[in-house]
Amino acid sequence: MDDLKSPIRITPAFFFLMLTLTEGASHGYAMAQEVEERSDGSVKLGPGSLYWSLGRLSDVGLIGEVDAPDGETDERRRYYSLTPFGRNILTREVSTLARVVEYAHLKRIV
Amino acid sequence: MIGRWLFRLVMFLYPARFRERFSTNMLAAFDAGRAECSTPREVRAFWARIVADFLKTVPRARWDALIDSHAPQDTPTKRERELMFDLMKDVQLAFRGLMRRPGPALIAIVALGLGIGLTASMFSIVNGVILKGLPIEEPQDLMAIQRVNPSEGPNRLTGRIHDYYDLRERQTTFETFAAAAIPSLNVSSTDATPEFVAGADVTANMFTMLRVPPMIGRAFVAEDEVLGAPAVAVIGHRIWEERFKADPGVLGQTIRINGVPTEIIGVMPEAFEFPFNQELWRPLRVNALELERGAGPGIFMIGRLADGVSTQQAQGDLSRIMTQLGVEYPDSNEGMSVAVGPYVREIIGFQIAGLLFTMLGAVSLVLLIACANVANLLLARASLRSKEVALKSALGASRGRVLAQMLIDSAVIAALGGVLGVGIAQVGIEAFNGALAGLPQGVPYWFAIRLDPTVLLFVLFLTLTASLLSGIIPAVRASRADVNAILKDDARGTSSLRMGRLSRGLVIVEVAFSCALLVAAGLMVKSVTKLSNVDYAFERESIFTALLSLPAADYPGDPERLQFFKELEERLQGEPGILSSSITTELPAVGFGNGRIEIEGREYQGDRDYPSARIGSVDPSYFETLSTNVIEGRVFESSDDDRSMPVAIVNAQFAHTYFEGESAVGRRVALHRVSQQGRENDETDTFYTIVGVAPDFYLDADAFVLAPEAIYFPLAQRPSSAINLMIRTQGDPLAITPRIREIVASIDADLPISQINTLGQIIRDGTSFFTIFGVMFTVFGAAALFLASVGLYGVLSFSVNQRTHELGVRVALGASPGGVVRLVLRQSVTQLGIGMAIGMGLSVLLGRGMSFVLFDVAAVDAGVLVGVFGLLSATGIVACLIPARRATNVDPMVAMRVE
Repeated sequence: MDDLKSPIRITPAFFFLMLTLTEGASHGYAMAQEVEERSDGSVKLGPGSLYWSLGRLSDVGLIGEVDAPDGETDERRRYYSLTPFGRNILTREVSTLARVVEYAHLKRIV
Repeated sequence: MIGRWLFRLVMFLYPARFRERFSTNMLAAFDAGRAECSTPREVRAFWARIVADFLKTVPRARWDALIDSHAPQDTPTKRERELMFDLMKDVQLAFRGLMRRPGPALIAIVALGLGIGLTASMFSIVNGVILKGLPIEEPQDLMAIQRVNPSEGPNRLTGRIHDYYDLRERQTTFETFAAAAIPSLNVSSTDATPEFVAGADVTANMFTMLRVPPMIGRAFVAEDEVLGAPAVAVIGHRIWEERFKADPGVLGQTIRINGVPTEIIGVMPEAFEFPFNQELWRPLRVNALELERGAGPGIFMIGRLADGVSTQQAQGDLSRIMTQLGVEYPDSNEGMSVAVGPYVREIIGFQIAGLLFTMLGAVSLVLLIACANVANLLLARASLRSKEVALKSALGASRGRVLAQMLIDSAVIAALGGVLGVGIAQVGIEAFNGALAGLPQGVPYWFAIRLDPTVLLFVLFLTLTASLLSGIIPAVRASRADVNAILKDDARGTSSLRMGRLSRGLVIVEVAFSCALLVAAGLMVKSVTKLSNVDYAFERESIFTALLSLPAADYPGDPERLQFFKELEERLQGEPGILSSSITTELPAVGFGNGRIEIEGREYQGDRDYPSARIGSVDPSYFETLSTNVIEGRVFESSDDDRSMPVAIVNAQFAHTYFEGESAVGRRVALHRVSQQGRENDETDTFYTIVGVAPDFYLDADAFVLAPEAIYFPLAQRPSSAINLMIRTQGDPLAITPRIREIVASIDADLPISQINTLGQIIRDGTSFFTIFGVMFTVFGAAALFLASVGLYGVLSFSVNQRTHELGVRVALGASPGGVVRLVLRQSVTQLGIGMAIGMGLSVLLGRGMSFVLFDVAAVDAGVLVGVFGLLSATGIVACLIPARRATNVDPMVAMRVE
């Protein structure tokens, strides 16, 4: 798994968006709202940023578009889920970050 | 609804592929986000985010599209390719069409450029002065709260400290409620020259309310407000740089403010000069318990609205409290209320705010005239091309396609006009900023007039509107044309005449608008001319003036001040070159104090029933220095001092208002105690016996009332710490400046001299504001006149061209040249007449909006109306005569061969 490399740099916004998908598929606006809530408002995604990010993530195959779940009637909603590749990359990147945070604690930065 | 439409429109900035993929989703996200906003503030924040989002992601998406452009999946759909091809072809066609007849196209571009440029400059002024607000967080919540007396109109009065404490205690609609007083401050320290600094005494919560913390050190805390606490001050960025060489260790050092050694506890960041252009702040310390209600320094209240509270709610809250206070303290508060309004609008004044919006309205008339011009040009082109268009339609071009092609013509012109407009706006903005920089009183610190993104966005909006306005009529006309009729028509028949009626209508609109603007410009020119030729009835140009303020620490009471005046007077006497010198609190036509007065023997009910008058303290040589004299009685003498009987001189208007038909001399007046703020006062008012009547002068620079009632008191009986020196000299008044500095320094080396100038120049500076607006209106009027005459000329010369054949026939049948000219002129004279009649009506509306800046000119002025009538008729007829003359030269043989 060590030879896995992310095709794009994972920015905080990308991280947050991917993390919202770990428990299953979701649609764009719901993701944006969850990101804003989880980041305490520090990451706010307007319509342009949201769909630009989703477009990038799906272009490189980290997430994929899926069919809307049964009962969803609003055709203007687009559903996404993590691809297996995306899940691997996310795990890898997060564990790197975790090591950084651990080290930072050791150095009493936070 | 408009917002959603705008959002959809702006989405076109994204690359096609991105749009295709996400536009419905983005719109859904937009709708969902918009639905969550309930208060206006949330809506504003939402829009700010949307705009930032666009700015951030459009370039990214465009960059992605550029990188991916080689990718095979990015090829546009067939439909898209067709559309793109059509569009490019149309733009190409439009350019080619414009280049074929570059003259009219150039005129159209210049016209739109002028309209867009002038409107954009005016908008950037309104934006920089009013709309943008203070450079602080959520500036729209900042309110100015000013005392008013509703029974005396909307004029704002100085606030009272007791009202402030009660309002702060009882109000429920403000997050923070603060107050400031504007004292006059001398700053001195051992190693630099003393200087006069604009400063403010503020309540401790002021900086927290503004959410601007000091750059170094701390802001005030509640303990700083306590009387007798150590003297502390926060200094502005400029003082820190200039006096302390930007020393980071400035905290704890002392400066002398009005003679009091004061510790510096903080430095504010650059470009912070709250409330207007202050650079030094002290804690406001007032012993409210010992002061009689209504006395104390004049203050000024500022509040930040609590979350979700509207201006109206806050106004209701404070009005209710003021009514309560009126019941509790009828003596000082009965009938008084407060006005709550957005900070910036209140500070610059509702009249100026109204004037700026009137000017924005006026200048958009210029843009409308330009649009009418372009519409006319396009109508003419459309009628020339009617055959081509009809042929296209016959060959199967859809109506939409024809419409689009015509609109693209106007879009190309508008786009070029927009670019030119940005250039013109830049010139206009620089000129306006230059004029502001020349204002001696300076401008409030938040004024930032420049081509910022908001203004550029506005230009984009103007350009789109202009291209729609000027393109839509010709486009609809062309697309609706009856193909059969046009193809059968032999080029000189009915189709061109039908176009003619519309374009004649447009010319009427142009004439009407420019007539209204010219009247406005005429009123301004007349007003400015009158202003510069006013007979002030006193000497101005040979008088040197300077301002001195005696610090309270060195001059605590009247005896010390009087001693200083006496010494100064003695040293000035016998100085060569000085014809007469005077010490006074007020300069004529620059600004006089105001106070409530009482006439002996008259009854007054409450405090507010006492009439108000202008008041000033002058020394015995005041009228002599101004080269005038009293018209009745005597001037003050050196024996009128603090030990002798109190005396006064009133102006003729005062004598007329209060003692009509009788002599004022010998009557007695008093200042009502409420006016004697900060002065020791025994309960009984002092009565002053009138000993003379002075001629009427202009007293204020801005009110333009020739002679409000005024009372002069002897300086020796009512001394003040802030005084003006007036010296009438032989030769250049400013040449004695160094000598005056020496003389003042020989009495008190710490005393700064400021505002050195001639009286004439100070008066002119006070009115330069009106000159600025005069120049602006004149520019608008000139632009309107130019555009309207170009429009008239264009339409008429086109119609003469169209009628070449007909005119040729007439000449061939023996019509005289004069007859032909009359025929051509008759049509345009009618247009001119109708247009001017409408325009004169419009001008009355404009005149009302600007009456506040008109000096001694009524909003409807016969002279100006006649002048504009003459100018517009003359210009209009010249514009018509050129093509009319051409009509007489039509060679019948050539004309017949046109077919």
